[in-house]
Amino acid sequence: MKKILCMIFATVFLLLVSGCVISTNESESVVLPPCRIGTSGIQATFGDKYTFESALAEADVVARIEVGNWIAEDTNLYKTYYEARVLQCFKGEIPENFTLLQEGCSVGTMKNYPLFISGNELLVFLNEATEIEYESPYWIIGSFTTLLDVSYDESGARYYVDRYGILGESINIPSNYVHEENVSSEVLSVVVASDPIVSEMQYSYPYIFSEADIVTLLENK
Amino acid sequence: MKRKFMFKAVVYILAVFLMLQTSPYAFAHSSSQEGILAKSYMAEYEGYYIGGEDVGWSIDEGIHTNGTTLTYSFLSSDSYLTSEYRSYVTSGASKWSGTVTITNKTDGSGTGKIGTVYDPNTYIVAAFCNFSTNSSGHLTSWQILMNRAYDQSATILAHELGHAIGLNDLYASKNSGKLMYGYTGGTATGPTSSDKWGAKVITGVHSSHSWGYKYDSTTSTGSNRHVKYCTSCNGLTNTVASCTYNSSNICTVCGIPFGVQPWSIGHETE
Repeated sequence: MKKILCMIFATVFLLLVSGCVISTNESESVVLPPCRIGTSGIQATFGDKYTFESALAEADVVARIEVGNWIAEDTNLYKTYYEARVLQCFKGEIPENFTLLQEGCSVGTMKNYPLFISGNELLVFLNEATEIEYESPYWIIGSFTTLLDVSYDESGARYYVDRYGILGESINIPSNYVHEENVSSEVLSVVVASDPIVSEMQYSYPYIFSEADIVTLLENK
Repeated sequence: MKRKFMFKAVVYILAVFLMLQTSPYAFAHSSSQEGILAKSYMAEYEGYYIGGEDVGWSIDEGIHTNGTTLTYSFLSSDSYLTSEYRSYVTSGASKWSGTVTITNKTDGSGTGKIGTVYDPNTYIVAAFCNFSTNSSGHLTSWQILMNRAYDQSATILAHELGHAIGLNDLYASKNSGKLMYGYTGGTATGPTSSDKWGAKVITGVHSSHSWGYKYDSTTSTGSNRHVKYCTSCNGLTNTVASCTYNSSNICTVCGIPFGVQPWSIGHETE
């Protein structure tokens, strides 16, 4: 009996250890920021409030992107740099692979605006950055106030989710899928599952827009 | 004996499993906003809310000044800190006169340090940052940085000093008339009465609240819930309760009739 238990224990232990090793190997290919939330906070005064229309007009580029590896941070300017890839460009021209700038770093982040991680899929309004040493740098105009998360329902249909409701309140589309429980529960569960820190945040997710509605809006402008 | 061994083995396996499952992330912040302040009742409301927007001021009990005085010094190493930038700080500080006394410590001993940065690749005009607090939530050090890529003003600095007092940003359009509106396009040029009430609450000057009740939300059966709030500072508590109706169908606590939804908390109505 003792031998059997020892064998079971050894097998479970080896499986757990090997699982850990696989996980470590996977994480080695992905460079994450040193932390998601800075050691101190930032309370920022922003420029003029953007609406969907004004952000679209002012942005050099509007694109659906995927955040890649963390590159570096500037703790004096509270800035983080990431590799990023364009999945779909709605306005302007931008290299497929570019450097994404985000306000915040390991020293300080804004409340409810954690640092990105590889795999985050976003709709962003971008302007080309200047005086940056990394290749093809772009910063998000409007910071977190203009961000939309990209998510999917079970059939794979794409949706754009407003975590904060700041941009969404200016979007004049009658169909807000947050009120359609079968859609919103699927879409929001994907958002939560895609990033471990999301469930720690106090997002209200007041707006969920379908891809068709957002694309129509972008193309009509 | 066998049972003892099995028990040990199971405990050991579980311990190893738990060790391997430990999250790689450390969550440094937690919400410390308790007591008198607005909460986000988004489950009941069909709208957009951030805590504090409904009241017109938002405080953070974990980050605020100790008492009604505040000291700052200019960053001596900042060669870009011209007399113009310094004058914005001085004028911004004077706007809080009567509510909080903000003093420039020219010997460099101020709790806060104020300086500038230059960053054209950001939406941030100015920032309150790099702060630390003691166990009581009192600020022991903090920084305000003005971004030289944007125009600065005494109003912007008064806003940033509002953070050092303990006030949070407000982002809802209905608060565009408050000093703590988080965008430069706001209309306030100094602390409004609402900003001052927030400052009085966080500094402890206003602690004797005069409680009343007002409408909060409506249940699926049509009956209302009310919330306890201070009739002076307008701060909400987290005490939300179902209305209790008399024979005339009027709530005996808040006085709002059954079926009436006054939306008196100032909801976003879009």
